[in-house]
Amino acid sequence: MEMLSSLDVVQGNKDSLIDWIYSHQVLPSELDDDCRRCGFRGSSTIGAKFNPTQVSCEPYIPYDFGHIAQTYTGLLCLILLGDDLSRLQRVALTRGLRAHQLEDGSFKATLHGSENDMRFVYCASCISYILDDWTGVDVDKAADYIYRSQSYDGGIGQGPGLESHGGSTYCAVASLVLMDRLYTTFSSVELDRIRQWCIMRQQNGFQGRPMKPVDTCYSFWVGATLKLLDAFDLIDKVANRSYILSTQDSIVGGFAKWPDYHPDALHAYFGICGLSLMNAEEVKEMHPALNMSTHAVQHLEKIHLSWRSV
Amino acid sequence: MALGSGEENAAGENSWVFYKDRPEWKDITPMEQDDGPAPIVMIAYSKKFKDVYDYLRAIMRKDERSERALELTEDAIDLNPANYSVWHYRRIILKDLKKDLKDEILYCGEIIQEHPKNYQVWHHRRVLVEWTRDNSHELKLTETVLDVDAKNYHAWQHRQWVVREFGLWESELSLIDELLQKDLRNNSAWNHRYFVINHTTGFTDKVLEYEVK
Repeated sequence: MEMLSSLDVVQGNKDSLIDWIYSHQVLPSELDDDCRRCGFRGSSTIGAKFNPTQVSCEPYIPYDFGHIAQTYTGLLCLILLGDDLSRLQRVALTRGLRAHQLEDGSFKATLHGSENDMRFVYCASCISYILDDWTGVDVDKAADYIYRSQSYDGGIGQGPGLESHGGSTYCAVASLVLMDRLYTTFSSVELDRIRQWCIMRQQNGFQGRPMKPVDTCYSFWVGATLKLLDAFDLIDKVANRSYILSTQDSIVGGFAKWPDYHPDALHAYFGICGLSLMNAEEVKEMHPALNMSTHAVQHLEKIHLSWRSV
Repeated sequence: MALGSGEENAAGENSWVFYKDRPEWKDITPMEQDDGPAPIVMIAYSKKFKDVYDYLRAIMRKDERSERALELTEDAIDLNPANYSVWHYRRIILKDLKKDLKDEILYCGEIIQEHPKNYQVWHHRRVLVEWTRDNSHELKLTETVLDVDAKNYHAWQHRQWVVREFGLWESELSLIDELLQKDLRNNSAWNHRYFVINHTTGFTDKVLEYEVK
């Protein structure tokens, strides 16, 4: 809704939304400074008491820990809603992040019981960028993991040896951009191969892998990757726009992955983002690596300035 | 044995009993979710979902590790197989009770077939195989899933891990040949082919010649 300049729809509830997000910040206990499980929860499933202004986690709740994708989403939403991020415990969050990085440079999502792959490398990168603090990430190792995940066909998989995929290619390239390591990680030939792989994904809309059907959301994943690699103007924008619009639902609205398929929030969001990349009139401009509007990024930059001046 | 949602007995009646009505759970006070005074975009949980998860919250808070807790996690998983906290809690209980993991591997395989694109259940599978070091069902499991969707990323990822972890390289090229016969354009199969050759013979001139043919 922020991308459509329609946040006024939830305007009245902004503070409640912000409070609800903060109520999911998992904080260290006063008794110890073990921050490994710190981050944001995805929901109130674990049964913690609602407390948007708490500063520590008392008493400790078993099985309560943050999830890297929820930390990323929570931070993004706070920024979109215009919050000043003052209730974040940034040190706890970066310490928590550090505990989620594995030996091979990739990240897992939760302290216990999670798989690890490129999605969470991206989440970690966004979190660090937003917090203006990279102490939670061993950037050399993360960049190395990304480098080793480039496939023989030029695209990037979820990890080394895995099939190249539009989603993981986006996560990899966006992470490197946020880390400011794009040009020191891949050679210009290797970057060209990523560009070529991405361009080849366009059929009318974009597919996520060779020989698979096109899907609206890849207009963002692959499109944004090309934007970050300065190659977006090489695509057929008319065909891309035409495909995205063909997946709009004329009865309930929103976008679906395919025409005449059921719309959902994910494809609605990425359909709008896909259009944004082509500077569609009704839609805000976006920051392709952070996955939010440039308007929201400006707000974040103001916050960064205030943090740095302390 | 826990009942799945919507199960009917022989008389065609729904035989689900809410946890709040089960005498063996009388000692537990169910715990509700707390979303504060002004929750927004609330999920419309069914009565059953709320009942199961109210009891799950209570039992996880106590960190109870028992047979009844294990059965409760099964109901919770049935209602939401993507809840990573429940899967983690279940693994803790399995270890604590020293359960026979052969049964768990079978159960996990069933859930995978119902939810073949669920990250949590594939991760659970991998952990079970790491614990037991029993890889005897893994190739077959991934083939069963690939039979339905020959490009399922989770299945290929799991297969790559099993093959590399246990050195099961022998039958890979023939599986790939089979899949390519069905669909020459299966990019996942081609990727696996590269992976296997890279880790076995490497791309020698002889191999390259054969591959190009």
